[in-house]
Amino acid sequence: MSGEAITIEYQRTPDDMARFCAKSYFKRTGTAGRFKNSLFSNLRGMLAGICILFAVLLFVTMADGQSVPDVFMLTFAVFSTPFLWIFFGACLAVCVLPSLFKCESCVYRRCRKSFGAGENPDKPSVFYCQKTLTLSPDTITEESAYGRSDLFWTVVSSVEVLDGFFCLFIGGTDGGYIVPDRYFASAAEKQRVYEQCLTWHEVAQEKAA
Amino acid sequence: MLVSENYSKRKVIINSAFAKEITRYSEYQIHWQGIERVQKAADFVFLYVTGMNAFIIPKRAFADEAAFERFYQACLEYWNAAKEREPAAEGAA
Repeated sequence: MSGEAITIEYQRTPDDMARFCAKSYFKRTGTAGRFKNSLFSNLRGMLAGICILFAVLLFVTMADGQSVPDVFMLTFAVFSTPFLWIFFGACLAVCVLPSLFKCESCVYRRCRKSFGAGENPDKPSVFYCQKTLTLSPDTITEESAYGRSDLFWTVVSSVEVLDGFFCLFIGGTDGGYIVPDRYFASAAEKQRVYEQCLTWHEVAQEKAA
Repeated sequence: MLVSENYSKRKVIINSAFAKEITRYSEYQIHWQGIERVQKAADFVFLYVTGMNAFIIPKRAFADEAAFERFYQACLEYWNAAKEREPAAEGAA
């Protein structure tokens, strides 16, 4: 494979990772996707709630000395009430609709809390320490004070440019090498690195096939 | 074709300086100072690099229970030694 090796020195911060997560989340899940996810997760929750309610009704009425068929009659009566369905619809709307208006900064704030937890800025952990990433035609090498990793392009699942980041994803989109834009001299430099990596990645995938 | 590394065969090497994991397509070496914690469950030893990322070594990779225990004790020993060295190294820096 052709092309000179590229070396990037970088250091991520919890802030970078939170911004990356928010950008990535909004890129991968459109409005319809977020609505669907929220709808299904809330429906699951409601179903679980109804099951618990039914079990409680069963227990209470049986403890009250009534027979099992009476419990079913009672449940049927409760679920035939239009008010219950209105309540059900209202609950779903309250739970699901906000997902449509979920903003990037909300996701960022949530991620920022988890990424910053337990982190000491004076002594960054493996995840946030200074690193040197060397991209060569065959391998990707990352070195830090804590260690070193070498891997072939074959295991890179995708090379992507997100607003503010250059990403080499490994095994899906949850992990990989995430380099913030500020470590590139310019937007043109970032684009050049992206195109070069894309070429190396494609060649590696063809070889593996 | 994407090669999945998560379930591929791997070799883990430990010595007093580092833990290293080698697969067909990658090598990952980390000094003991970079290991967040060492834990043992019934069938696994975990070397946590971060809260979300760890070397996971299953018991089935060892000849017997004693070998598994020896491996875990060696990991603990190296890790504790690295933690003791750490403040001195920071002071020197």
